[in-house]
Amino acid sequence: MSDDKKTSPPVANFIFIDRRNTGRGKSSNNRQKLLKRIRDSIRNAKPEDIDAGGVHRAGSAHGANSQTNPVKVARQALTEPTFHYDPNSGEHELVLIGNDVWLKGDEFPMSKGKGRGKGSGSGPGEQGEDDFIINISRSEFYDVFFEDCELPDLKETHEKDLPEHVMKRAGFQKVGNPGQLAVVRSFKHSLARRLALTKPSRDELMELEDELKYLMSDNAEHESTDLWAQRVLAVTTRIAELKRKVDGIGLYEEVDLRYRKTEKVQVKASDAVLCMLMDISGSMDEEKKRMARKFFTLQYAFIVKKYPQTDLIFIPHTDEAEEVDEEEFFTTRKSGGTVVSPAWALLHTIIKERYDANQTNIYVSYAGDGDNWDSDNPNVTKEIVESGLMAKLRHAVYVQVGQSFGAGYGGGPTLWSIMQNIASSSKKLAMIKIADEHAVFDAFKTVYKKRGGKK
Amino acid sequence: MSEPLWITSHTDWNQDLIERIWKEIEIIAEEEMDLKPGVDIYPNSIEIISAEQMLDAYSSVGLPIHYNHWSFGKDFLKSHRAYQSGRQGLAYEIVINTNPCISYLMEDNNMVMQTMVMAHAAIGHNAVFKNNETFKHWTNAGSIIDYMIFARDYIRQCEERYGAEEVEAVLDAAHALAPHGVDKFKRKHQPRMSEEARLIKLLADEEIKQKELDIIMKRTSMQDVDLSEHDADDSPEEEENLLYFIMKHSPSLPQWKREIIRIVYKVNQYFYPQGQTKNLNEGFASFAHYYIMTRLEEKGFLSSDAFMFFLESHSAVIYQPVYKDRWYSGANPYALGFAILMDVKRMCENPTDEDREWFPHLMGRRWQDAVKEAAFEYRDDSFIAQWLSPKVIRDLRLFTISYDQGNPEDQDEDEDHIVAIVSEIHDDVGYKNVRNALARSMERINYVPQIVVREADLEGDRTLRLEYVPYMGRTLDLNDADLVTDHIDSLWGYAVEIDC
Repeated sequence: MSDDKKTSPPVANFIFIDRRNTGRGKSSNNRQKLLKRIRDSIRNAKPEDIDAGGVHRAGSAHGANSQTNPVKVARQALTEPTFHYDPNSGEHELVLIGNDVWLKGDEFPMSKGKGRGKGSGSGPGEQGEDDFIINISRSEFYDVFFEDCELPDLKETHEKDLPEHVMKRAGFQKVGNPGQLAVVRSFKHSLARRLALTKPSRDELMELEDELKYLMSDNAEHESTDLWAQRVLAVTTRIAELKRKVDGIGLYEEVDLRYRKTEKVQVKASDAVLCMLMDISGSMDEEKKRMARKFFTLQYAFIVKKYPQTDLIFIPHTDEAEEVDEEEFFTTRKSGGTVVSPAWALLHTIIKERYDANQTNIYVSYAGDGDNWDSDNPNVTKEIVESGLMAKLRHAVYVQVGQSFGAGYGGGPTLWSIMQNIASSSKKLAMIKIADEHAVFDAFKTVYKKRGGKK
Repeated sequence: MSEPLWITSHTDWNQDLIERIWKEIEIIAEEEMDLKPGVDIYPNSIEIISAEQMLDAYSSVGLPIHYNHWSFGKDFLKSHRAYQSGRQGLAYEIVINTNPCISYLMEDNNMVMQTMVMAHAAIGHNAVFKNNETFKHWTNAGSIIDYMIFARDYIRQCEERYGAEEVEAVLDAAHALAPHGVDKFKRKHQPRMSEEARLIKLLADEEIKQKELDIIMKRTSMQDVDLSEHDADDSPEEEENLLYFIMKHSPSLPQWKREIIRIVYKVNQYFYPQGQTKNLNEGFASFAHYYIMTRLEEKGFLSSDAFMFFLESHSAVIYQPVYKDRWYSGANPYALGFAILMDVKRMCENPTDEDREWFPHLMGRRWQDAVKEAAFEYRDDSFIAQWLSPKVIRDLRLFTISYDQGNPEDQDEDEDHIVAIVSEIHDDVGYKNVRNALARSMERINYVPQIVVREADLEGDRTLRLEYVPYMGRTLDLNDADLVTDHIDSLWGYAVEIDC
């Protein structure tokens, strides 16, 4: 049979082609064009588009509950506008299906807006509203966003770029590769399905087989009559039919298959810690805090890309400092004087207690409006440099938001100049001023811009 | 002697089985449905593809070859996401209006599905493509593939020559005008299809393609070369085909951009009939698969569990939600078209008194002739106006509601309630009106507003004035209208005004 199959002429007016191994990835060029368009629009994204709604959420794609928090971008770049009617205008006549209670002249309840009631009668070929947005995860977004940024690479310390994982069993799943097939579990499902599907046939089969046995036994009457022969024939035919039916049910169906599921579990505790220090005294108004928050958020998202396990420490200060949670950090406002050095002192204590500076990459950012109690300025240098804190840090940023203070009240050095002093002796400290919210992103890029030509 | 042809719900497909069942399908189509292979249907090319390829095919609107554009990548991603998240299954097939008629079949389908899909696409849709007046009038199944090869290569060359971004901008703008880039009536001087087809056939030949393309590029990069459509007798006023108008009259467009616009216009025109015939096309294809599958079972090629399997898929395809359902979105074209054609057949075979009164011309007629007439000589609006029977209106329990929202600017922001009145229901007085309303709802004007060229001051300041022709008191979405106007601007090169 197989021979004449090969030589048989093609069926007239009919060609059969197996295309599966040809012409794959036809739309990849289109997808590349799409990606380019998205990338371009992200790169040109305005700071307003990236308000992250909290530092924690900014990096949550890597967190324990890695729910992707989609960033909506590029909507404008991806719309395909057409001339169309405003759905809330003019007269409409809709033909609906499934009248259950309505009589001619009844008032039919409908609500305005998106739904246009139940019967937005989509005509043939109607395009429908184009509310498709490219939802990309935050980490994808930041991949593009941070494309030309890098962490200042001061020295290769003990960093491990890849956290350690172990694979753990985590039950069964319906999809998987053949190597993960759980045979026993799959067989159970198959058995259950086959039993359920063949039950009526098997019952009938058993009865018929009993009857056949009886018919063929000596007890049967009318052994030679036509009626007997007819019955034997009927029973054997039906038995054959039922057997075929029962046998026709496949041993394994797609629905039976179960695969072992494994999960990656991270074992390493922490790679990095980002410490955020902020002046929250009366002079730091909502707007200044928003700038600080935005900067912190970007920074966190950026660091998390390199160190999936990044701890956060929040230290707000007035004339005294304390450690708080994120919520409080960005919302509380206290009045009182402004003394900066206690915040750095507290930070140092916390680091000594919790982290081994040789094993952890410690990043610190300070944000304030440049205000400090004059007599405290020398203490700042002491707490940061002389105490040995700076030596433990991987990188620090001093951010001054708002319109900066000119000189100190007593004509002494400003906080800015104090920090400048420190920066001049340590390349680990970067300094920036942010005048308004729109400047946050540019400021961020100045700090972390890739420096060309560096090894 | 080979084994008897016998398909159960567990039979996997293979080429041999597909070829053998196709012969049986053809016999039923020819002997019982009056669809003669080679005469009433195009030759078929049955092509097996994977899920990934199916998604690819979606994104090029079903055409096996298409020029590249980001929006097709967007479509791909959209269906890919929907498919991966399980919100949407993939089609069992995609069929293309070409000669030979290409049907893409999913590799995952079992043999029952492949059989159903061949009856549906390779007989049903194929016959509509070949015989329906709208398709005969507007498409040239024989040359579309060659034309698309030309279009793809031409646009690629333009990208190399003028930069991808320039090309993209032209395509973006042309796509925004695509709904307004179709001719609804034949032009006095239609492009010479045969001449064009010849040229393009020539281009498809790999060896000389490159050379010919260069010639075309050269030709189209020179100014003042007439495209074949450039006829002096078209008056600019009242022109509804904005793409055509801009291609022809834009004062500032280089020829290569005109050629790109022409490509978008041609592709659009090719798809125009599909939008006009959805109900009858899907209806006839479903009618065909239902009839053929039933006969295959009766003739002993399908086991009863295979037939059950088929019925399950069939009822999913023609499932019609009612207005109260959350997923209701109007009439399902498969369901409506199938119901109408099945009832035409019933009326020919077992007419009632009502049918005698409503469809006297069907009495004593062969159902094959009547069904073919309904599917081949109409488009959706006229198909429904002519063939929707009172019985189908009753079965579907159709009713109409009417409401007037006036001008959005006069509306009370907080008021989200609309006063709608049930205007007709499925009773003796309502049948005709319901039928006419449903037919009207299929007209294109319901979803594509009419925009015409009011004035183009070609001798003066070259301002292009467009006008929206009001319909049912509706206004345009001004936001999007602005965006489209910007696109028109970029093609026209001078001021564009639109009177909404």
